[in-house]
Amino acid sequence: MNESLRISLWQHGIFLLVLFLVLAPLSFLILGSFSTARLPGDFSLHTMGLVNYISVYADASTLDLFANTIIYVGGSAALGIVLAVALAWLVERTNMPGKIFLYAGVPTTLAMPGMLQAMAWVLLFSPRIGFVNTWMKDIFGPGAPVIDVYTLEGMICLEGVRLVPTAFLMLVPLMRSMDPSLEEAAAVSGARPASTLRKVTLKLLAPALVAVMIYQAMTALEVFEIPGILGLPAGIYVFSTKIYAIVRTATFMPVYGQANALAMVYVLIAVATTVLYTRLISRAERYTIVTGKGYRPRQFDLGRWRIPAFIAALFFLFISIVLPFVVFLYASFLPYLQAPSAAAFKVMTLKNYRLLAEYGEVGSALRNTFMMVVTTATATVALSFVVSLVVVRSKFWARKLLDQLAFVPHAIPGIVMGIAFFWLFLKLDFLPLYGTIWAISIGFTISFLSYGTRSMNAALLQIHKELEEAAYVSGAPPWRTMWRVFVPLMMPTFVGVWIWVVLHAVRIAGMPLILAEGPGNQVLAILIWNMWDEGYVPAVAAIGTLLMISLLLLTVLVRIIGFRRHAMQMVGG
Amino acid sequence: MVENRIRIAAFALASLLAAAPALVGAASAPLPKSTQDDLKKLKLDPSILSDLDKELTVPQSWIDGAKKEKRLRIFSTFDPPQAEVVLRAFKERYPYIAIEYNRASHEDRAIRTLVAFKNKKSVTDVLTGLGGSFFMYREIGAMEDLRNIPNIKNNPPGTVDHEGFWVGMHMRYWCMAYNTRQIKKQDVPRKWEDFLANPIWRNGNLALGNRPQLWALQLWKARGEKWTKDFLSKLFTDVKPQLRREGVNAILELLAAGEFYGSIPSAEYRTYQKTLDGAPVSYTCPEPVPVAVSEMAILKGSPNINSARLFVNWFLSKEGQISQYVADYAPPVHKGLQRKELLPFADQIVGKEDAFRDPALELEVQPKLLEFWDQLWLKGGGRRRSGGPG
Repeated sequence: MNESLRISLWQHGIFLLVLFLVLAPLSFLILGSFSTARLPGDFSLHTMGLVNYISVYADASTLDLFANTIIYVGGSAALGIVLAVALAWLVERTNMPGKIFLYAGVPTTLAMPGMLQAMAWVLLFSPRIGFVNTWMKDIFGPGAPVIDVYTLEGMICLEGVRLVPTAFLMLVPLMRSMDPSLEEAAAVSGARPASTLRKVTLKLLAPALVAVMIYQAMTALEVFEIPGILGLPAGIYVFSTKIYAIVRTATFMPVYGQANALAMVYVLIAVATTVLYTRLISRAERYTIVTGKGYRPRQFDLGRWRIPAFIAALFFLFISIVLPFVVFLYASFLPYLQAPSAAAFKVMTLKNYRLLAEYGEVGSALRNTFMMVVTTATATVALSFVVSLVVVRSKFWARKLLDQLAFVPHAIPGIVMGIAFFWLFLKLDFLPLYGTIWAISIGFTISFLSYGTRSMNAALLQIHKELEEAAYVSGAPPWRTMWRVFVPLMMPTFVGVWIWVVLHAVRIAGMPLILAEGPGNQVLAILIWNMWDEGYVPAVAAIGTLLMISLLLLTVLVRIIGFRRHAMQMVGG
Repeated sequence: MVENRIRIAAFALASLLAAAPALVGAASAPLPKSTQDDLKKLKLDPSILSDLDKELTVPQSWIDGAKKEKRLRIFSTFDPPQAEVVLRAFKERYPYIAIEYNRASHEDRAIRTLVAFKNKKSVTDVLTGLGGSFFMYREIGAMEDLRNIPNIKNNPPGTVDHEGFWVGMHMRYWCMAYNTRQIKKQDVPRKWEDFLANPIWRNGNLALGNRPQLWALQLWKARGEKWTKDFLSKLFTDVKPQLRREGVNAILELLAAGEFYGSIPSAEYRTYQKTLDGAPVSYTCPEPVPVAVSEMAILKGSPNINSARLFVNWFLSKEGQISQYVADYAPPVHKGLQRKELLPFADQIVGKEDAFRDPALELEVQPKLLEFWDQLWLKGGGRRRSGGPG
């Protein structure tokens, strides 16, 4: 077999693999939405109809569902962007002191799992027993105002805060590299600083802000943990939690087709958002604000607001990282849940930590989680690399389609992907995957493929073709070229993507909740979710505290690798 | 002289009778160490297990089969550390069976297992606490017939399914728990109507879990349909309790934290465990006391059927029942172990009028009760029990 035929076979193999892994579950998801049988196992082409669509969309409560989802997604994206712009502006465009704390601290908040943050907020702001509400009652009496976290507003606030670090990371470079000439012109023309900020700075940033906001809205649309922990107890549903509620019933057999029918809208919204996002990005050059000139934007003098601004910025870090951690640490030493008091500190115990050692399920969940995250991260890196290689470095006829296929899962929420894979693994029962840890690994790998390929595409574009051409001319076969040229140069990207996947796979509960079948494939996120749901709050706090510490350490590692990579690039010229 | 001889003979006979259980015990196989520890912990005389060998006698084919299977999967409600305690003695007796234990919520235990079964996947061998989901298992014939388990004869009447699809594994007294910091003794309800009369329970101070089949079903049996419907209607409209979506254990944790003053339904064993942690909670049973058993079943077609049978038979023996009591204080179902020292909050239960949830009640009344309850629950702003929209 000659070399070009072998390469072509490889390219077709990769294309077919991605085509199958992306389209097969989605096909079952679509087909299942028309199934009149209650369970995937009873599905056949003879039992098709519109009954699921009718029962889901004819129900009056579905309108509430749309309204809740729109308010939740729009509200949290808006809050997230306002906070992120404010923080990015403070660190890049003002003379606020202590900026290093924010540069280091804001991205670190990414390490905090949303599920644990939501649980911490429940402990703080539950209307009757939340620590904050209890203190308010102690200080101001029974008529004290109550902060209720089990509301749409509570969900928006928390998700808004959670969206900040990603938006911050996107906005900081933009703020840093903005051409200050227009702002300077406004200042020279006598415009006030606030008016310059509103009429010049923000207008210049508008397209980027819209793009970031759409990205944030997609993230909020996908998130399951926050509305799951804050919304479900109060009966406030958004799409992701409604789908979950349909398939996870207590007394009746779930109707999977209804979940699929509901997921169709979700998929449509997500895909439409993706298209809009892609279009905006493609037009971004119209709003070019970074030129080839070297300059440093003017710093805005905050005057007497320097210290208050710094305190406000630190407050963000406090509520994002410090407060959840302290709350969990405190609760992890309690024999039973109670508000902080002298009496509570007297009865503190290590029981919950000892329990973790005895709790057989913790051990098996840790083992499963370890296997799952390692295989998922490794598979994502490997698959993303070969896909990007075909997309960026080959003339394969379907390379653009392959790139789009790899991007599609990004627009599909984990809980929906979970249901799609649930159908796939049940129907293709010759694949012994149902109820295994590999089922979750495959689902996550496909979900993270878009992130992996975006990173790999960018990294591969930076490697000049002359390196592989030199290897080719020297007679090196393709595998050796890959091993000796690409792998060393791509190593920082491999490590970066690998750790990013680990950080995300370890804490996402949506997809594993659908694909979990028992101790064989129960991962840590599911164990925490179930234990919380069943009231083992102090034990959850103990696991959560240890998980937070591990993830914070891992995030610090990512930052170090990031700095090294930056340093390597600097050295490389 | 003759009198003396009679006295001596009588003394000898009395001594013999007194020593008989010990002699039988001495003649039987030695108890596993964990069982000996359990007896010591509960201050029970070993003679209580005098007929254990007989109870544990099973067909040889089960033992041979289990030795080949080497594995047993259990889905239940014991916390894993408690399960370790429950299973210690079993592991000592049957060391060739490796147990995979999983504590699962009702959804995971009952519904996921059923979904998997319908899709021809086996996720467990032994399943417990099926509660209101049992009718679905019966519909599709998902259970093994357990009438060949020798120790089901130890269960009181009504604690075994008439077709043998489940056996009662321990007793449950589904009453109420309350926070001792918020409820004074005079406010503790003595009968169910007290919740309607005493204003302290109003405006969210009482929590209801969405599991009426655990307690209201028995009230229906004891007081009739009209009384139960009136009571529940007033409870929802006048008292306006918090309608909680959490499971009963989570509700108990919230009760200890002070989220509400009382919770229905609460079981005696869980509340007792909380009191051992120092939580400010206690337990009371308004009359009539709703009594039930938790169900244990073996899934049809279980690949480890012999191990599963050995386990169920052992669990229903006195040794299994004592082990499970030591683990989590659930009152034994075994007829020979129904005693006050094996019943937490016995003073709140014994001597009161009770109402037992028997299988017939579940089949006949439960659908009607759930339909009525769901209307009240949804009207009160509670979350729908079924998975449909809304």
